[in-house]
Amino acid sequence: MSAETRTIAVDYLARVEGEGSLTLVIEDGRAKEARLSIFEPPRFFEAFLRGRGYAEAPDITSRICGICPVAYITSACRAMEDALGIELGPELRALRRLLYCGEWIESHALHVFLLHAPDFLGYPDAVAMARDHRDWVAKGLAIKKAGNAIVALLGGREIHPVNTRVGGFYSAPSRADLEGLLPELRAGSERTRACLSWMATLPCPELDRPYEFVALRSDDVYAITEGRLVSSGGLGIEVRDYDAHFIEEHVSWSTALRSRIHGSGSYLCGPLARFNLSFDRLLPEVQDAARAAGLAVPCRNPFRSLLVRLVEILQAFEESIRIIEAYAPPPAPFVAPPALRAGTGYGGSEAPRGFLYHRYTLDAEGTILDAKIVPPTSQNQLSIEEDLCAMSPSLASLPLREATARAEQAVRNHDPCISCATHFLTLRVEEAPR
Amino acid sequence: MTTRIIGLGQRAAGDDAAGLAVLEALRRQGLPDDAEVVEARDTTALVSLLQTPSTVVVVDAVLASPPGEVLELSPSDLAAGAPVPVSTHGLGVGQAIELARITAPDRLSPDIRIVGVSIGGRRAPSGDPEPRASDEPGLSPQVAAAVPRAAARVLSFLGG
Repeated sequence: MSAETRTIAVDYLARVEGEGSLTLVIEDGRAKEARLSIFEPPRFFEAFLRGRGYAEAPDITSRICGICPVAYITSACRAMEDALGIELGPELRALRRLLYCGEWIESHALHVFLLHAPDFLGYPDAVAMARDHRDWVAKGLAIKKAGNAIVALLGGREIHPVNTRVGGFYSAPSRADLEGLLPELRAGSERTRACLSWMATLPCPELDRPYEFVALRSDDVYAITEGRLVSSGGLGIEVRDYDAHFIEEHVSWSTALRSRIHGSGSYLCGPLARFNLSFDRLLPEVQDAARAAGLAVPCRNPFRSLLVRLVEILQAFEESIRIIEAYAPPPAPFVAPPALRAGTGYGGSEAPRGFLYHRYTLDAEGTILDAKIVPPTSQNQLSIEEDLCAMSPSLASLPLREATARAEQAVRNHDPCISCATHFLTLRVEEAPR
Repeated sequence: MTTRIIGLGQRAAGDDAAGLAVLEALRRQGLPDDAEVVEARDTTALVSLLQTPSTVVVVDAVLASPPGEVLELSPSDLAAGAPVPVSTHGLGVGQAIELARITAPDRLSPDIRIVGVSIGGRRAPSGDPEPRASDEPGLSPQVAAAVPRAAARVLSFLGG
């Protein structure tokens, strides 16, 4: 038996520090088992949401993640609005979508430029990459900054926005406020196009995985804040039916729950799923940019998610520009609940790394009796492990250092939960006992 | 010339908010006209905030023991593996400074100073963090007691 361990520091969200690990058990040159161990704070949040008022859920759950708080805010708001019968008008829905576009831009840009791109170029981190590719990293930082600017303007601050609430916003921006963002957004769009063209030329590992993709799909737009939940396996349901089709299970090596589709198995959510299920909903010029970058549906190579994220950044920029150009302030910054009532509400939205499901049961006073939150990373955990198994023949033949780098890159394909995915793994390769 | 004082941290993460508490202390006691304070919850935001012709003072919680010490660090200290400032996500403070230096060397502040408040939990060689002073809401007593001293250290850089 041989075992080698590489320990790398990790930075984790609500706990600031933490550690993930990946164990590959290799037998006769093939992975017998891959175990991805991750720590997921959301489980604790479900418990301490109980007894809180319905209006607190978006703010509390937004603290689950510093990178995608808007996703938590939106899914929580959608669930509470479902429970209380609140319907947002088109102006507020557009503002919510704009806020979410900001988060997509900043989260995707952080991942693409600072965490994932160095893998494709053979650098240990973004700082090393920047020494040779200064202008590209500078472009990435400028793109991210533009996303932050949207969130800061609409949300009141860049991280953990404070201007959002069930039913909409505490205050709505003026048209002039939003128009002030346009130059930066237009520049961001152009920078993204350039980066997409460049990154399309980077060497990309070959892998073709038979994923079942799961994502929201909308009738008229690329789904972000709302839609029906569909899959490449033929699923087509309302978000409120999620629990009837998806199950979560405990595994001994991870504090995160893993998800499966009832009667089936693993599935993948996130950029690749959205791209494959809603390519036709991308803006026409974004579809063209994707094709020019060599992307086509179906795209089942997880390493191509680097490019798909850039496509989604481009979509978010172009949508943001359109929303602002068409913006008319809403009649009121929020829609108040008609009346409090007991019931259960369901909400889902497309976080940068995949579908984020919230479910709340309220009593007649609007107090939360029960909460369920399913983040994308736990849904993708099984697929990530299967990716590693699928790659095992090539991993087994590589020296440990290269195998570790490639395995980390494969995990980073899915941008798991936190942006600290650079250097977050302990890789342990074990020969199976005979 | 305006000195830019940047506080890093998250209020919801206990002693991680030490840098923000120092900013609050500075605001309360009043700052000279030639100083501005900025909160940064995202270390990537630090990259552009360091682009100024002025002096920059970064204030952050630092993983070092014992908790409650006020430390003065330089960017080169961070590169050399001195006590690790607590970053929110992704980038460390040292990496953010290095990225700012690489991507826009002509715009980087010529004078970057880092004031740290130690919160315990220096990273062990294994990479496992020791327990920190506090993850509870609010600052622990030792860290809170260090805030006025850290604020005084920041003020000592102003107009100097």
